[in-house]
Amino acid sequence: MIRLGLKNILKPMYLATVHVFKRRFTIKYPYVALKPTERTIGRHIYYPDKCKECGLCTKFCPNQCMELVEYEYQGKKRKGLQIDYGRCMFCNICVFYCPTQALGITNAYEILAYDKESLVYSPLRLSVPPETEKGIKMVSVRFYETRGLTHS
Amino acid sequence: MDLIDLAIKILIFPGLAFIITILVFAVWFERKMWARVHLRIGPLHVGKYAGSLQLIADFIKFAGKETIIPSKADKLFFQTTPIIAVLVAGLSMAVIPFSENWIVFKFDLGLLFILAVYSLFPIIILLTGWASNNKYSFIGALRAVFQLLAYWVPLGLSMLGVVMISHSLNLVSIVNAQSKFWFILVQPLGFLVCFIAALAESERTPFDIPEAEGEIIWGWITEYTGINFGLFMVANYLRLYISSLIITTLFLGGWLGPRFLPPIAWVIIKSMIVLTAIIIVKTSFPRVRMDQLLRIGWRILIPLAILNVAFTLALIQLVPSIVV
Repeated sequence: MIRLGLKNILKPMYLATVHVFKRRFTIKYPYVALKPTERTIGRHIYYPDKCKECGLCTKFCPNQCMELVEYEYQGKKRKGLQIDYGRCMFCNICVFYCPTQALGITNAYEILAYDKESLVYSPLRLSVPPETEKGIKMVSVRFYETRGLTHS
Repeated sequence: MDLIDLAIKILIFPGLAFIITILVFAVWFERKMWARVHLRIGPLHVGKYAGSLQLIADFIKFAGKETIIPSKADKLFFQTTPIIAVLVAGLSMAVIPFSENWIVFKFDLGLLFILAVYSLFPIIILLTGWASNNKYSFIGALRAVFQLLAYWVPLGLSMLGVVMISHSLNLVSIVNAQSKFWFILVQPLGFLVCFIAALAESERTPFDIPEAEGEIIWGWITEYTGINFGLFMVANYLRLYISSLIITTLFLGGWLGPRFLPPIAWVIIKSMIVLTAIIIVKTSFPRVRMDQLLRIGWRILIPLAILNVAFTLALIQLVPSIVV
């Protein structure tokens, strides 16, 4: 009984003492950049060359934050994707419903703006990769092996 | 000259200014250590270095809040007990030596004085709980009184061994008696009992049932807001720090240490080490139940303390040279 008591008393104290010298888990976020994990879903990247303007992404978007708008691309008028990040919930459905893989995901998790209007990303703005900040890079997200529409 | 000396001692060094500084540092240190054990960061933003002025910010916040007095409370005692608590908690500081001369009140019965001050807290706490006229406060106050009375006996008994070896109740003579060896070496059992009893006397976490926030909100301080609550927190931390100072003085050789640091620094360093141990205990253990608390106090610690006294008697008989 004494042995059990000593074990119950000394072991937690030892563990607490060891924890004092361990690396801290909390990150001072605004001062230190968060490291995005492999599965971090940030803002999209749009490849207008691959897009065939089918509009599947807009139809499957649960929050209806996507829209096909007309814009000028390389001198031609065509339709492109516009995303309202005020409504996007980063579910990633659009990316894996896109039949031509014209939509991708980046690790840029900081999408900040002073007003709602500047959260609406135009096709041209979406096609520019996010600024390559410290620790932020583009990743290829592979949630499923196959992409595109499947029928059951 | 004597008066100026006394005024300096009361107002600056072992007195007021030092107490405030050390409290700010101790609370910051405790919160930082606590956070480290949890792998957190702790206070960060207030102050130049790592949230060091957090306590001052907290105190300003407390001071700025409204003081609410319940309509059915006993107004006289409700308003005076916070101040009395702080004053009584600070009383012990008068007899704790920081070096041969840095002591406010040279007194032959210093240890007895400290024990007497310890025995005042149950009265203040019961008065507070009763004056609040709130069931949580009253239950908390009763718990606190049970606890403080139960642990006052082992605290006194564990100090008895030190008194027997050093032949004095004067804290300066007790520290001087440790010039050959610290009393923790010949009184390990006494040190253990004294440490646990001091934890319970200052209502620290394994024994913090008087303010068990999950059960009785904040115990006997429940009804207090604003500056009064802040004063009670000051009193509690003061009791904690004074407990660690007393352990330092009695068992860890007080100001004695290698010459490269001044004696005062040794007292502060040693008391901070004791404080660290108290914080580690605080972070490691869950709160004990009321019956467990009383069982530990009456059935384990008091027999252990008496055993320590018997052990000391035997030691003095066998090795008379350890008596100074």
